[in-house]
Amino acid sequence: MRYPKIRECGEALRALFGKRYTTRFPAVEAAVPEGFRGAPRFDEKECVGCGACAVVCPAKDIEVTDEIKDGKGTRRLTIHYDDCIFCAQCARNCITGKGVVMTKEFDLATTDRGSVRDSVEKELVLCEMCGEVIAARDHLLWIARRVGPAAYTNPTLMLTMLDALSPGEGTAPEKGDEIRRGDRMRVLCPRCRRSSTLEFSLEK
Amino acid sequence: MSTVLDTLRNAFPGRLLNCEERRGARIYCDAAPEVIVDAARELMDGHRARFITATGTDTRNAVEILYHFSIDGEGAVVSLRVTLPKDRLEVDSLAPLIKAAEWVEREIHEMLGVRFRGHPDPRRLLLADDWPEGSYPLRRDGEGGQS
Amino acid sequence: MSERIIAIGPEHPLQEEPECFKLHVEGEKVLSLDIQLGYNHRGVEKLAESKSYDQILFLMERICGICSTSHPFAGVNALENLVGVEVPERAKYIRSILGEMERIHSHLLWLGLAGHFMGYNTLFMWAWKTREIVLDLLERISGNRQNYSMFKVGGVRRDVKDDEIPSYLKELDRLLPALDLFRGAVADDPVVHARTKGIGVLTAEDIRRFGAVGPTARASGVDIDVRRDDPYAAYSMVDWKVVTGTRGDVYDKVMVRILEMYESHAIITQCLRKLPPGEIDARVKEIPAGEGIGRHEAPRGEVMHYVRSDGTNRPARYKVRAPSFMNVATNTKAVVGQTISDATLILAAVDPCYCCSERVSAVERRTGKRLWSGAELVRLSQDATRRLRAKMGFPHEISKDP
Repeated sequence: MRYPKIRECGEALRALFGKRYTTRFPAVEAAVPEGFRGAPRFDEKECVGCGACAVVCPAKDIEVTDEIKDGKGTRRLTIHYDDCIFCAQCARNCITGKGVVMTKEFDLATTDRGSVRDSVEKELVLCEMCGEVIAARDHLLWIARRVGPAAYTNPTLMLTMLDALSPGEGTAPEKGDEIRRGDRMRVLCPRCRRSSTLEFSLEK
Repeated sequence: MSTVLDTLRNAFPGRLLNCEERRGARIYCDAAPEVIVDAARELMDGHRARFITATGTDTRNAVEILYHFSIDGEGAVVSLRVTLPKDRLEVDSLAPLIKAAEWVEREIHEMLGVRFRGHPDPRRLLLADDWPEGSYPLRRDGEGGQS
Repeated sequence: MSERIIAIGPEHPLQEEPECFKLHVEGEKVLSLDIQLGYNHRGVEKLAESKSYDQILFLMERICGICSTSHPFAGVNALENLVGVEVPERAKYIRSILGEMERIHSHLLWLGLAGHFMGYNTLFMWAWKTREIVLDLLERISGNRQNYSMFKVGGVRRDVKDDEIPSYLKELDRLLPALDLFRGAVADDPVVHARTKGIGVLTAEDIRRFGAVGPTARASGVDIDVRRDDPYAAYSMVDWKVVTGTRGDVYDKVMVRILEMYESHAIITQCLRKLPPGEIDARVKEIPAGEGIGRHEAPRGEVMHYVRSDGTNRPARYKVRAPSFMNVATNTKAVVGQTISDATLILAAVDPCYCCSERVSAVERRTGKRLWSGAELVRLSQDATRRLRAKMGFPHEISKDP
């Protein structure tokens, strides 16, 4: 029975005189490998505000709130790290691939629950007729870029795109009491676009 | 594997119907409630089956219980489907025959409100003591569960 | 002689997860066992009905921290049984690699705990140190040590980098000397033999009655293993053996798990070497109406998932049957007639994972006199080892609990 103890002594000596097995975290930063799924973070420039991340999130953790004030719309996307499960589905399904990315941050513990959030704000494009939210501006621009010349078939896309190229030029025509044919060439939500195509008065 | 299917098709005429084998060696049969204990015994003794579990589902007008058995030698799973009308949610318990069914039936009882006749120990298994009586979480008809 | 009841549970340092065991004892002998579950009940099956088929696998991962591959594995098997899709070869191999890595780190965790209960805290530390090899590999492959976010219907979500395979193989080979050390530590130590041989015996008939599975069943000589009986992923494409015992006591349960780790190592290395090129995802777009049953041999035994789809993007019913649900019940037989100091070891020998089987609630039930708490029962077990060692003439004191 001495033999096993000798064998185990070998391991004990190795453990005693070999390199220390545990790291000195948090005094020393912990090394995490490439591809580690740490905290997801938004990238304000790359995010287009489409909300795909919020749709796929298994924990229903990404909050999308649209606020319209004084005719201007803002969409706010918020990740709550206290509910996040770090599955990376948001990053995998981000339509640009870079709007939300998994970082290597894992040391998120804090005593202030309000601080465990990350948000991004995106400008919204509103329907010129009914004022409803159409989509985030950057999202429309992303779509316009991807469809190329076909963007010119859709006035909303086209006008948003042109406005991005030279902002402020060209004012929208006055909104009349009735729908007129010219209203088709405005930034409209799908519903209003349909009504402007189907119901307009030629009288004016 | 055809031996199990043959047995099921022939052993209980009129009581074990629609026996079919679907992809992946999965056999499904519809069983009349009164035949379930005999069918289970036939599978356990005659085919060295192993009881896996039983799944209870609320299907609007009835509660379906699927009894799953594994035929390890063939890698097959046999599922016997018993449909219980909601106004008569009771069936004979398998627990006297198969010890493994004891906890499984207790769980179905507390989640769906099915009464297992002859069960030796029909206490709650998983729900908290103060969970209201008569409230069955996996039901979708307002009996304690949201749909 | 008066009968007394000893409660182990619901929450105390001995157990990783809360459950309540009530041992009815007379003197030192256990007469019967009453198990109360329900402490970890989280309503997972109900919650599953509100998730889409892609989201549901993340929920399944989190049923249990240590069976984080097992549940999604059975889940994708069930959904793929429903859909009838053929998973690409490369994805099958990756799935088997993940499943076997999980088996190794789960068994090592359990081995450490068994050592702890016996009073061999060094074994505990070394087993958990060896686990780190596997956990670091899993972190490199999937991005996390647990909750791998890898399984999806029709394939896996992340690929294994071919140029990293040699380094993975090198790391895996570091496991072998450690496994040899553990096998020797158990097989050659007469104290371990005395504490585990003939203790908590379950016969093959008991196993059948309780529907027990996994190493608990195989230790009693019942030769069942879903990987061989109902092949899936890459298990039929590599060489490996099913490990069975003969006596069904705690010793056999320990040895079965240790020897299984060698087999797992063999499976992983073969899979890494034979990893075929190609796609990792069959891109399943839709789950049609129907039913599916999927199984996986988890470290604790057979996990079975049943899915019923009504053609929408959420399941109509999702049933999870974890192995511990059947294995834990075997304790009512295994612990009867044994002594109190052996009780903790027997209860732990089935490698209970309450998270898997529980939708549990801990019930605080007033019994008669409470003689020993859970922590004290561990101490009883460790004291038994101390006494045995003294009796056998080993002078050294085993390390006390830190």
